[in-house]
Amino acid sequence: MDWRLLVNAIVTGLAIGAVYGLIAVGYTVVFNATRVFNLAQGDLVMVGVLLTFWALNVEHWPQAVAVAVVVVAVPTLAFVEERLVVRPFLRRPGDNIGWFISTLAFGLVLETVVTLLYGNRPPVAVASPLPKSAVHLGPIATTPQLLLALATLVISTVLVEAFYRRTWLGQAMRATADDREVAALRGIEPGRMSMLAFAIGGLLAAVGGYAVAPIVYADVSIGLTYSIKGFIALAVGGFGSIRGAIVGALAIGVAEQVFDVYADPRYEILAGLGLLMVILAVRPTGLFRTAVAREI
Amino acid sequence: MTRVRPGLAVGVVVSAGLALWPLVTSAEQFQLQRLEYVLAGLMVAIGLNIVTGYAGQLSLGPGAIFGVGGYTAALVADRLPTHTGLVVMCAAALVASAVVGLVIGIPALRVGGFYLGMTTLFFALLLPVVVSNMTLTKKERGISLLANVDFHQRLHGLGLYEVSLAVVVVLVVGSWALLESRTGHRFVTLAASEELAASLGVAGYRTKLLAFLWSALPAGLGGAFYVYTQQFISPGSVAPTLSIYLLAACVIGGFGTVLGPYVGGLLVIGLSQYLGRFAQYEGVIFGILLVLFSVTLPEGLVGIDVRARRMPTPWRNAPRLPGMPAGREAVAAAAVTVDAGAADPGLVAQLVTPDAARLRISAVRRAFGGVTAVDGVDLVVEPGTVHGLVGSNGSGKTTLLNLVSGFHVPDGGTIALCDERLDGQAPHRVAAAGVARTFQTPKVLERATLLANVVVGAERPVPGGGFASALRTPRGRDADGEVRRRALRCLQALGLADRAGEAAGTQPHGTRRLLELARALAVNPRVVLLDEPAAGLSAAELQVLRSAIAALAAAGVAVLLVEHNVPLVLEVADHVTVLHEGTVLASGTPRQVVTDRHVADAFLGQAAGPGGTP
Repeated sequence: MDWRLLVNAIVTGLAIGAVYGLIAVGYTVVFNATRVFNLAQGDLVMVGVLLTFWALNVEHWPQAVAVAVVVVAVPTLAFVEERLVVRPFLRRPGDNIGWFISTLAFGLVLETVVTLLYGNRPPVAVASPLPKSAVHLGPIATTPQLLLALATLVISTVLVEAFYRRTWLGQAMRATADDREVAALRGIEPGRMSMLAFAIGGLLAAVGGYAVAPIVYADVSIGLTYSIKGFIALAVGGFGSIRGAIVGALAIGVAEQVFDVYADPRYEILAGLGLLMVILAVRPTGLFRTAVAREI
Repeated sequence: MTRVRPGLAVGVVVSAGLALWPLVTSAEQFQLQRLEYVLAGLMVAIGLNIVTGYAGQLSLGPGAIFGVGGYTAALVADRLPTHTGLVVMCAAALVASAVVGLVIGIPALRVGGFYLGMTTLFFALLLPVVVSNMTLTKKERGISLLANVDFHQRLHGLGLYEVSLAVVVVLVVGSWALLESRTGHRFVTLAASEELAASLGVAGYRTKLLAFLWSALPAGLGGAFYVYTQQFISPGSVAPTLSIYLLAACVIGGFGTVLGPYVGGLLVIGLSQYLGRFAQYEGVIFGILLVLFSVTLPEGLVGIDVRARRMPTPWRNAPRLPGMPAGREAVAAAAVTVDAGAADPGLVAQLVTPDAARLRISAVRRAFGGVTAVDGVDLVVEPGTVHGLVGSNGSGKTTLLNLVSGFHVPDGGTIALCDERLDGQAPHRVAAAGVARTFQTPKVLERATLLANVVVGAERPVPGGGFASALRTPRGRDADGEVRRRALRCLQALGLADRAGEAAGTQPHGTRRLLELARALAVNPRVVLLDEPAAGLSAAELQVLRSAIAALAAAGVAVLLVEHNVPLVLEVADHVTVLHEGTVLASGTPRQVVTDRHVADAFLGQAAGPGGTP
């Protein structure tokens, strides 16, 4: 057994996990403000990837313009999603199935529309501003693009955490999640908070989509897979905790890459399943979940 | 006197239309095959409705179980072509779907919430990936029975179509029988509130798993019929979008209604077969329909009928949750003369016949974070007495009730009923030991009738099985009749019998409180925990409550009464305990407590002298 194979698998896994991490953090931001689990999050990332592809490979716009397009368009979509398919359910207390189905449907609509626009072509690589050559850190070889993905996750997380801790809006968002009615009595408009949460979720999807586009190719069918991987990250880490989400996401990335090396890359998806089953058996509420008192 | 039910009429007309259609139009083989595909999809949708519609547990990946059933059936047929017909394929698919149901359900249901939904969706996503790589399942090409020269469809053509339709009809009727049975009542209660279900002795985890298994079997059957009728299965047959379309079928038809998946499935899966060149827009069409329906018409097409009946029009039957006994019909069946309106507490003595049991709470402690809500409380409730528990807001009264009923686990101390330890037991076990309770905010099945709300409780003391109840065996019918009679008499005891057929959701607050009390009577409790039962009651309702509590105690029940209405407590209680900041401030007879120096100090300040009312 070559230990370098394992180390490289772990490093690549961390970078791939960064993609799942961005989705999981996006989930958490939305979940913490609305108690809604946005099943279209993966499809928003997919839209980010495909928009990057369109701006760079089809229109041949400069990188800066591509970034601008993605960063404006994806949060706008998330915003639309909040208004059309989520808000009606937030006003209907006790309904905890409706938004689930409607966000899933929103993702399906996104996927179908993008598929129609993209046409019947195989996924292609998206142009990257970074050099293709490998970076050597001692015995470990990796690419700049993978490091960019990891850096994006770290920076986004730090910013989101700072937003929660340091700003009034961040605190207001957490208060809304805690108790919608009490927050409203304190002068916080819950509707505005959920809009803001979806916008931040959309921004994370946009940034993530742009950063990983060169790695994952312009594949329209990955949205749902991403949504599920993001969920597993939360299940492993524990719902509501940003740190837990990231640990969970990196764990899936690494598990998949290690699985590819030692088992069979064609069945990579089973690595996530294995991780989910183990965590459900050993610690069903996730690694970082804190106990919450129930209201009866 | 038997009114034709609109649902029944719709079901019969749709089924008859489907049965006659190929005869009238002399349909070609390929048209039959298309319809058979729709019928196979309907089987899955009917199953999905059981777990998500009835039991309220979101399952997003019905296509995964359909696929496992289908692939199993196809493999058996392909390997043993000369020995295998429709029956063997169905049997194989049923076994496989039950196994997968357990493999998914056992871990995923441990957490609750939407874990089942996400885990099933994950399976729907990974099944096509796995089968398209496995040599066993012939990879991307899939398994074609047409290519297997040894396999012959013994049942084919019109006969096969009619048999498929018959199976769908049997499943619809079966799902109706399930909903109307004891098992179905447990599902519906669970969907309304897990706490309520647990407080009535329903084991949440096991019941959810049962619902998921009942939903897996029709899905597996659908897989077998798919393979038998289409003679083919491939990774494309089990794409994740299939699961979303099946979900759309149930949402559009109406989750939780018997005919919802039937009607919705025909529309959605049927439409997907006849979209023709619009097939590429399928995702947009169904996605938008799905959002539109779940936003504007959450009860679906079939639910329109329910919605219409909810209007307070006197000539219509009272609205009811599907599966729960309708008011007037049940009242007639129960054959009890109802003295409208007047409460009859004398009935309590006949209805509640407990084995005397003492509830003993010793040194119980419970903290939430840094706040110690209950700090070393000792309390004994003797059978046949009322124990009043008073104290200001936040003194730990409700927490103590939740500790007794098992919703919280004490950090220390013991809670025992006779010699049986209750602390650390799951809520449904505490309930099964004979502890009934009401809630501070009444928990009722909003869409069900008052009678149905009490039936859920009355099923506990009347022996009988879920199968006997669903299959309407003579014994099952007898037991169900007994349950209804008991439920009605509980309502009568509290003066609610004349409203037995009305929907609980339309009732005023006081009625809901008394309804909860009726439900607590129905389980034949040894201990009753009442959480502020007098809050918001009218003078007349208070009188009913007062006599009901007295009757409960007279019947030998141990009553623990948490209440802010101190005059009421002093009047009905034999013993009063005053809680203050999680500890017992005073305990004794009402007289002793009223004159207690500490109580006066805590509630009225130093100035108040002895003899003042706290």
